[in-house]
Amino acid sequence: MRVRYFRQNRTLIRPWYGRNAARLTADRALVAEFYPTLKLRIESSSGAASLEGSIIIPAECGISSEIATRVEFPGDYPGSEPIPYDADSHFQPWPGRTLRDRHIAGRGRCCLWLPPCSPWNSADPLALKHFLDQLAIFFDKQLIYDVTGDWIWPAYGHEREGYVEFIREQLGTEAGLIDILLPVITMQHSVGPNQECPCPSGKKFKKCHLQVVEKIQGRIGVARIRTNFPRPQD
Amino acid sequence: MSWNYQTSKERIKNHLSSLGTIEIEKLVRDADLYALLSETTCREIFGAHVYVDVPNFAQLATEVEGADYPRVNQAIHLYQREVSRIVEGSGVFDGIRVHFQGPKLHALFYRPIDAAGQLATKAVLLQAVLREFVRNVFNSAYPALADIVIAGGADIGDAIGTQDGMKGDRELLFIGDPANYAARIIGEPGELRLTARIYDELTKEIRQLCSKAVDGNYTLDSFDWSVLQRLLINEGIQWSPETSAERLQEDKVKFPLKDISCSDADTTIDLDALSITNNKRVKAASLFADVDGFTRYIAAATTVEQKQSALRVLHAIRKEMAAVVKHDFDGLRIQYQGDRVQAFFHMPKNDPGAIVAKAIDAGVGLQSSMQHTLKECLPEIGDLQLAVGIDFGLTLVSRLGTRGQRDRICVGSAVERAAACQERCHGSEIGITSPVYILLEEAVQRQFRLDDQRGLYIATSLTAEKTERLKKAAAYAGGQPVFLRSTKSGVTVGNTEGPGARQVLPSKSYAD
Repeated sequence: MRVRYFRQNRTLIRPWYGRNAARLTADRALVAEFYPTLKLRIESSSGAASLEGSIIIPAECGISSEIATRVEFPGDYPGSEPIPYDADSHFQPWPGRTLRDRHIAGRGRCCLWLPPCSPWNSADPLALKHFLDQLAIFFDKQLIYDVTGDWIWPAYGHEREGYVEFIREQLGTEAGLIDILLPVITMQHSVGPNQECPCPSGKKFKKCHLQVVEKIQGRIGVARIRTNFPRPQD
Repeated sequence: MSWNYQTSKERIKNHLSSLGTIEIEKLVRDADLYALLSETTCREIFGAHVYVDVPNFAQLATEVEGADYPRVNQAIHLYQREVSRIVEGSGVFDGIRVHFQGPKLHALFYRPIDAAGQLATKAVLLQAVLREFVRNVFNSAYPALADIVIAGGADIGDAIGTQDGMKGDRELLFIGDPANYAARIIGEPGELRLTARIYDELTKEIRQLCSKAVDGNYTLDSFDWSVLQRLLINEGIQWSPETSAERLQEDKVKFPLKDISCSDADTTIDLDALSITNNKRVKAASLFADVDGFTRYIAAATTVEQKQSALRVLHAIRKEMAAVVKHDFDGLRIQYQGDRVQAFFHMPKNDPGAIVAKAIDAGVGLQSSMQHTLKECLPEIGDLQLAVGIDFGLTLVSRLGTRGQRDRICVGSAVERAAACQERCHGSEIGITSPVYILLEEAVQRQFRLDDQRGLYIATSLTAEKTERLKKAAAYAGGQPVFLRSTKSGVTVGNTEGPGARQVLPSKSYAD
């Protein structure tokens, strides 16, 4: 396949499928085997690649639900995970509730997981299959939600609340310290390595919780911390 | 036992391919309708339709216990025998006993052909005669039972007559306004009602015996036997209370109480084995499924082609409804009643929860056929939908009549309540009573909401794939792994392992 270059911010860039043709071939084969109703499409003007088509979920009684699906590949794929969409707004808000309550964001973007919990492993040659499997399960849950009106499965809270839950999970046995450590993890309050740790241990921060704080910050990412926990001056 | 898309679709296709061309002509000369009509030989018949119900037979069949119960059985059978003679007797009313829907008679007067005045008069006089019969003959023959009271309705006009079933088990069906409204206008016990259409065809003398009701229909007043006798003589109808009393007495001798048995059922009831002497009394779920809007649908069909198409639709729906009940859910199809079907579920014995669950599943199966397969195979069905009503309780099951014209009947308060539920439901709804709701599993209960105004629990658009999802919800709830399989028809997600299945732990969702 001849790969075109595309202009982005005044620079010519080579799309991921040009840089990594083997991955494109392997992913194409995976999709054909496990999700043959999805097809790879490359937009001629922008060079953006996506999977288009539908995910069909048949019930045991033989009735199938066909959900128009679009999975966009980011420019740095497979470094970053694809972004899935309910392309034709098959799923609508339950009366009196919002789409977010069923974990669907703007333009039908499907929120499969909290970003720091993403199982995406770019080195795994089966990553796209695993990803589409989670999307199929997500759609199946949506079909169940259409009947029950309840999201009965484990889920994180929306926006900031979801991250606070995640931080609490990461603190594990020290979850009781969340009120003290949350301002540090979310960069509302900075503590120097040689300063006293905000916890009641009396130890220096670098000898106490610095590693834990940095690990959690690394999982979430500074950009997401800034978005979800803006400082007053931000 | 479950509903399946492919099976249902195959059934419908097979039925449609074997149906043949439907012929609809106007009935222009006297004919034996049982011999003439079939699924494809249909006639537009001008006639007066009469429904006469005995509302308290259901109460008697439900509440009477002990030694008096055979008497209730005998009373229901002998009432039907004598009423049939009155309706069909050549010297009497010379009509057609279309069938008994439980204790409710549906009769048709169509001869002399197109003689609107005479047909209307017969319809009104039949109601008056049955009132006289019940008051002065039947109730005195059964002093040990509470007095029965009738309620009636009559209308006149064109309806399409057809016939379903095989030799020995055939059912006449009439589709159209008069067959529908005659039943719909039935009011309180004791009231005999007529539509304005039939009132307009009556003689002045009979009109004077009617009072206009607030809904625009008319009620037949009470009057003495001497008045009725004169009207019968005028019309050449030979009937007297004495003749009926004699025949009733003969029947009592022919079918004595000691020969009438009524037992519980340990296995699925064989309806063909039932008779006046062999009855069943079981705890069962009754189900009625009606094609909502079919009367309007057939009325909108003005050309022969449109009528043929409407009848094809009706036959396909009826056949499929019966197949869902009988083959998919092991139920009993009791009767077709125009565009509705009556079904019955009584197994497994002594397990009300399982019986009710089966009836609900059958209701869901019926809705699934209507929403999916029937509409796919017959796009001309358009917006037609099913209304389903279900109740549970002690019910008498039997078979009335003789030879080829037998009616399977279910009599009991639960049957009446199930029919009332269905009548209060709109298309795509399943309506159930509180006793049924209590017996359901919690996940299924959540599909029904209480409608205070209608006094029912109602589920809307509940089809097989949705109930399947309800059951599946529990598998996800614990955060357990699920199994995916990629097949030709898509990706199945379930909680059972098997060849080709891959295990996946569902992710924990989030929304930003």
